[in-house]
Amino acid sequence: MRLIETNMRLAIALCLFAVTLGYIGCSEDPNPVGAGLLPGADLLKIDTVSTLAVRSYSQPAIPAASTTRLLVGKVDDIESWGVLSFLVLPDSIRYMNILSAEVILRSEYHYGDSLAPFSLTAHKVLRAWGTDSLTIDSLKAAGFYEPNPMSSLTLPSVGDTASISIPIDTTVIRSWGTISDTTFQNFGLLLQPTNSGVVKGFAMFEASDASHRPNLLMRFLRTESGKIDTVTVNIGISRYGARIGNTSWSSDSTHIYVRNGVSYRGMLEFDVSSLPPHAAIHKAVLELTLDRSQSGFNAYTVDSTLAVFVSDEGVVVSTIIGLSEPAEVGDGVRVHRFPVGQFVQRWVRATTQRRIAIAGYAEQDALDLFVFHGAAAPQALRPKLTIVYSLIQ
Amino acid sequence: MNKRHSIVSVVISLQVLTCLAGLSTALASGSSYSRFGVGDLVRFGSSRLDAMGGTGIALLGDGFINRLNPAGLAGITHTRISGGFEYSSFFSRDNHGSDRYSRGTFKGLAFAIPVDKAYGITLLLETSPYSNVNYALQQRDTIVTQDFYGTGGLSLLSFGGSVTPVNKLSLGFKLNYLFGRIQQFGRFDFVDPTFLDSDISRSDFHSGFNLTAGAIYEGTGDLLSAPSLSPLALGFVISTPAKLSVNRESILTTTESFDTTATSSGKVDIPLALGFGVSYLFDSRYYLTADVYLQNWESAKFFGSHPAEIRNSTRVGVGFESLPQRETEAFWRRVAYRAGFYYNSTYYRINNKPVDEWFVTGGVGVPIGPDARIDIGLHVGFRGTTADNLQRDTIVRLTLSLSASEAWFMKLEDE
Repeated sequence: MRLIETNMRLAIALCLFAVTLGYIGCSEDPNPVGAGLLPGADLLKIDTVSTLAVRSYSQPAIPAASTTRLLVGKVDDIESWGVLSFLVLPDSIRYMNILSAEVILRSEYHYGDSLAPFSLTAHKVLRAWGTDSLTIDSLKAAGFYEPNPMSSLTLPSVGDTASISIPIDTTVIRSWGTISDTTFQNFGLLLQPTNSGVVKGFAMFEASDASHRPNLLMRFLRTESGKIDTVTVNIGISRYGARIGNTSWSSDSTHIYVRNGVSYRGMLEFDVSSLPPHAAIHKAVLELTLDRSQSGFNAYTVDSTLAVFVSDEGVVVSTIIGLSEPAEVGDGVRVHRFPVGQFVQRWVRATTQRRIAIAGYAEQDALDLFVFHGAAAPQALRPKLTIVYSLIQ
Repeated sequence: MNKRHSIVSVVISLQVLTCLAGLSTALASGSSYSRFGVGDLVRFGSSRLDAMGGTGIALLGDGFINRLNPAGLAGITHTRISGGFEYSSFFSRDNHGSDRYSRGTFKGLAFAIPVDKAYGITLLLETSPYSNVNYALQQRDTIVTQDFYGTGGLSLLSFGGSVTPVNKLSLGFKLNYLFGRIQQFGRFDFVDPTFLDSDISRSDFHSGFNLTAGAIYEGTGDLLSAPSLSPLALGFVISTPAKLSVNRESILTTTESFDTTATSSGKVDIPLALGFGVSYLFDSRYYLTADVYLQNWESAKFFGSHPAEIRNSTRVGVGFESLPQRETEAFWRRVAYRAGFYYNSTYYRINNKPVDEWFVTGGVGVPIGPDARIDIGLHVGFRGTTADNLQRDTIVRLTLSLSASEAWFMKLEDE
């Protein structure tokens, strides 16, 4: 019996030994040994297809809500109005004898003639507004602002690091109320350009350098001491609305127009039916050839554009983008190349529309104009999509 | 320790082995040849037969469950359960390098219940691995690194029985349900970061039935009036072809999508298999066995076409066993000793070259209870060649089976 019990223990020990062996040396990392056995059909076969845009056009768009600049001014056929509101006005100003108030804006950008005179009028805004959908038409609408300006400003020119001061009617500030008010009346002020040679860009509340942000400066008289003191507020919201005069951009199929600020975006459509069903898309590059003669840049231009995925419903999906890499390809020809592999992956899986929007990089902060050759341009200049794919089943 | 205690201990041990072997398999890797067909075919009769060169088609007797030939069940006198575990070590080499990997696998569970000893009626319930897919390969160049993995395999769930209709002739059959999922993965990782990587996974679930029938005849001596042939037994086994239904799903995964690129169904043929065996018992103590096992893979079609990498297979083996002495108290005399050899012309034909293997085997059967035993088998052998861009595997397989019995459904006088 003792022998049997001993052997039973032996059996259990052997079981544990076998299991231990099972784990020793287990390898799950693939290695090249035996790769020569693989049938050719298993291996990746990469193919490439190129296709030209079947349609292109340009259309106005509403820029993104977030902006770090307020563009105000006029140049050529571009006009931009601004609106801003200082929030969190302290309750203490209710009891102050406000002597004067001004808004101080720091310039950091221009489009047009930097030496051109700059002028504007400031108006009290009469309606509530948001930062996400306001357009210049909304700003100009009757009843949006008080037609009689509270102040006007005319300057011979404004340097790109200079600050301007816009006088504000103290009664308007009183009408805005304070932070504790239950009824919100603080709709801010509107800046209407009255110049014609330049659009200026002023740093706004989102500026990374706090000293560049707009300031509402109020001077008041301390009754107990008779001295003049100041209160400043630099928290608020802003929005501008810009427009360009009548253009034929939307009907021009030989070019696509990407105008920042205004804003205009290019739209491209492709036919990728030559791709095999269920192809794996490994890379796709969109090439747009720039028409320098029609484009408009200056020293502030960020020479990048974005390809943005457009859903079947026509929604520009700002989270699916490809940033261009501009490159000179000889004879002064400049090409913007966009990685759009993710777009094409979606096209071959789940979408019926194969559209791409072309927008400027940080289009809400500038007024640059990128003009690219469109679908009706000579073949060598047309938007071209090169797709690297494979069929792995 | 009584018999009940013995079989319960064996069942618990088998459960532990099953769980741990399953976990081990999930981590492991194996031979690249298992990329083809339905993978490496597993032919497991028991650790006893494994140690005897995998032979035993003509072995009839008590004390083990013959999973090679259901006619071999007719000699079982007590309800018996057995299960096994295998540790495999592969050292693979090709013209570019070598690598070593190992894995542990569950070798199935069999449960045999004798109903009538006089007529050799025994029922069988069995689950066994039929094939094994386990590989991980990499093809790398300056553009892309391609990783290929395969896992899974086919299993058998069998129900059968045996009968001895006339003296010295035993018949057996098994109805086999073949099933299992074979998954293959490809991962494509581009060197250029501007390229988008992709993964493809293909999952094939197989299912189907076939039948295994066998016979063992021990009356050759009487038939030929040759007493010297009385210890001779002849065995025959046949497995009918099976047409497995396969549900296939391929999924392509990219950075942006998870796309089911194909869902289809098809057929995979498991062809007719025939086996012949002989056994001879010298001095009532020493068994000599020999088997030939053939399978007609040339006729097999996978999704309507015959894969170029598949050919007919032939396996030839011989085995030897020194039976334990029951009357002695000496431990090592109560141990069974086994040895064997087999040559297998496998069903692989890669790069238009046949892939063959040969093994030497050995093992022992150690008593661990009144009618319980642990069988240990060892295979050492080679498969393939490094010529013709192939791979040579040096394979070591250690199998471990636990087997125990108990009297169920028997009349008291039988017990």
